Amino acid sequence: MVDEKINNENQETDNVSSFGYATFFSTITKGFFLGIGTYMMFEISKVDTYISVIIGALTSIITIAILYFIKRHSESKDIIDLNKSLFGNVIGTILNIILCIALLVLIILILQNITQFVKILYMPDTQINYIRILFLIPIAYAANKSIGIIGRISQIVFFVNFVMLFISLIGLIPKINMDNLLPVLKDGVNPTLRSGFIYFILYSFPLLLLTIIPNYKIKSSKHSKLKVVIIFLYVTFVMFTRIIMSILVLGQEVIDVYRFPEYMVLKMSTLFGIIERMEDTLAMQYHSDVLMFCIFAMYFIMTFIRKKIKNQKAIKTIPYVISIFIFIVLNILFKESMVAYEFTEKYIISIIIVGIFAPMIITLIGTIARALKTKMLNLKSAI
Amino acid sequence: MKTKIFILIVAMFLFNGLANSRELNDLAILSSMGIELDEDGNYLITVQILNTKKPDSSSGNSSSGGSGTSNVTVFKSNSSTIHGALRDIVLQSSKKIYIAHMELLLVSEEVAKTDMFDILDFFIRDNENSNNFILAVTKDTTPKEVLEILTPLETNPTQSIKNTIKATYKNKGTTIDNILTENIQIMLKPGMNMVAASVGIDGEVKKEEGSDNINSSASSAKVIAKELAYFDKKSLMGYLTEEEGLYYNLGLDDLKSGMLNMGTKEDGYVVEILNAKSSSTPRVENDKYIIDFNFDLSCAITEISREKKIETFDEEVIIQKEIEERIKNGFESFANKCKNEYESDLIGFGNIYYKRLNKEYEKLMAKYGDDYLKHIDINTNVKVKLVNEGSVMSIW
Repeated sequence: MVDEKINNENQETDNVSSFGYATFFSTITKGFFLGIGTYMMFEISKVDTYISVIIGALTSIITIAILYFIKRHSESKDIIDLNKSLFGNVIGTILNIILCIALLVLIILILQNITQFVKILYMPDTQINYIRILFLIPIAYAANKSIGIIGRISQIVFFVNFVMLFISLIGLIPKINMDNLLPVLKDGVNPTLRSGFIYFILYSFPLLLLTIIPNYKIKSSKHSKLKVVIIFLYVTFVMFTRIIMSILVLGQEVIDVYRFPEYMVLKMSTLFGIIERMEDTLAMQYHSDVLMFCIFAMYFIMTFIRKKIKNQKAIKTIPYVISIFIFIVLNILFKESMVAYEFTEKYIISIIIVGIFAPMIITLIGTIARALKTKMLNLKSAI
Repeated sequence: MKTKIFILIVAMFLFNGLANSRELNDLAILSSMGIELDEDGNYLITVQILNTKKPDSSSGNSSSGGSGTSNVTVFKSNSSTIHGALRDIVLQSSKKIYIAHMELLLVSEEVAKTDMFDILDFFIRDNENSNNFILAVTKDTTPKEVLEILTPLETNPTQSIKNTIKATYKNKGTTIDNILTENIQIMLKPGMNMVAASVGIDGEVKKEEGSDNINSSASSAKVIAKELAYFDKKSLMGYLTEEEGLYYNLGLDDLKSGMLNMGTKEDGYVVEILNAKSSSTPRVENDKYIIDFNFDLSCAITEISREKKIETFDEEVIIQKEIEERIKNGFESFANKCKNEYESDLIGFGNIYYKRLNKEYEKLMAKYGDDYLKHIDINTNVKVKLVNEGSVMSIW
């Protein structure tokens, strides 16, 4: 009786609700913007960066289409099994390894960024390794859990971030100066398009990671697709708001001075003229974005390893082993903060394109090819 | 289960935000700072720290004046850098300076004439610093003398100075209350130069003043808000007049309230500006760069001499025209002074072109470079509405 109950509970937590799945579109996609994406976008398109968000969001629909196409033709397999079934064991495994290595590198880079953010702005006297461990422990712990639990974490993070955003907006609206939006498109459309491309890359690639959740693990409901559409629009609104508020309140001149302008703008937020200095609390939304991405990326890697290793006890220690590896790499490679920062700025787009987009496009081509083949066969048999 | 407990215990020790924790008792909360130069050319920092020591209640008088203890303590320190001087204060103070609640930064004229970017770099770079402080230049005095004066109306002298600046800005319109972020924005804007509030001392500063300043109702020294200080890109150049300060705020659509003394003592009257709206439109005509300023003001007559009449509609129109003429001439004269005498683009004529006609701005800069200001003309259009002549209908 008790075993049955535990089994039922395990089955439930192994499935993610449709709302939980939809919240992934928000919670795992914003991690690379703080200090990396927004900084690069502001550098290129200056005052017109808010236009890039719209351009980037519109082009992200392509990624969502790719995601849905792959899922539709995945025969209820996750991306790991799908690659193997499409391309055979060897090439499939190579593709999966490329994905996992790219994700590992991205986790390292994003962790370095967030620990620098926390060290500079929150805890300058604290050893950076303590901060790294502080982030790695919940990531490793949560990545060990089932997708259902990660989905629930995502839902909580989604609601907390919504409240933080709402409070930030109310506090910043009195400080808006519309003149700061001028001049519009001073350097033409090119910088805006380049900046939009960066947004597209950084926002879209986590969406492709959702292929790790096979269809049977997603509880379908009446309005599943509608939930995804609403949350996608919400995320676009969030990113648009973060960027346009930075411009309207701080102005381009002040944004150019700071590395984390979306944090600096929160310093100007006051509630009813009484409650000030809320920036540290309101910036928790940025920490949770990073944590969610790392948890999901680690879950992706764990899923691949689970299919290779049968020993259950060993599987449970893998996230901790990976965390220790990340910790060591951060200490060896990124002793100086500027090294990490320059590396990230230079190579992150290339890493994402080569490590995530390229394998996914190959999977997409394989999926299209198989779908066409199946259609042809059906036509032949019908004839 | 055991693993979870182990992880929890490890995490508890590793939650080392405690390494960064500081007790309130260990902090010297800084409310204002003054920067000037000493004889060796080093920075002399004067800081006003809030005194958290409990007042002695046995004297039966809990006010700061009566017991002889002040609510603030002043420390001075010098070093070749600002942060160095601040850190050296720990040699005198039992607590480390905590700068996050700083509300006022006073800068001497000498220091303001050097590179303001260098001065402000420390305040922008360190995250713990407040971004909400007002920057003011000390006119004809030093920050040290200003910060050593205790004030009768407020227990925290910094609050008194800050509120004086804010009250002058809101009620007279002859100064500004920009915080650091706003100052940096103006400093970095293309085609615009910064202004800053200034403060001075009215009266005689006695050496051993102690609590004398707050014990007497007619204290010998008071800190007063003075005229706006204007800068070129980074250094202090001089001061505007009071009326020019009003036109500065008017030009930037930032005038909350103001007052104009019209006419002579015999036939004069006083106009209070209740509400002001400004707009500016740049244009280029026959290779001439012109900015059209439109001012819409609501005014009230608050005082009038016996020689002046305002009993009929025609008389009201005459007065309206006089006020419009005065504001138009005053603003144009201020603009011309900015071009020719001050040589500093205070209202931001260049910035208006930069934002609204960017291509023309580039042509302007390519043609004239840093001398662009002299080649921009202004055209002023003033509309005054007299909403209130007071409750007196005829000469009494």
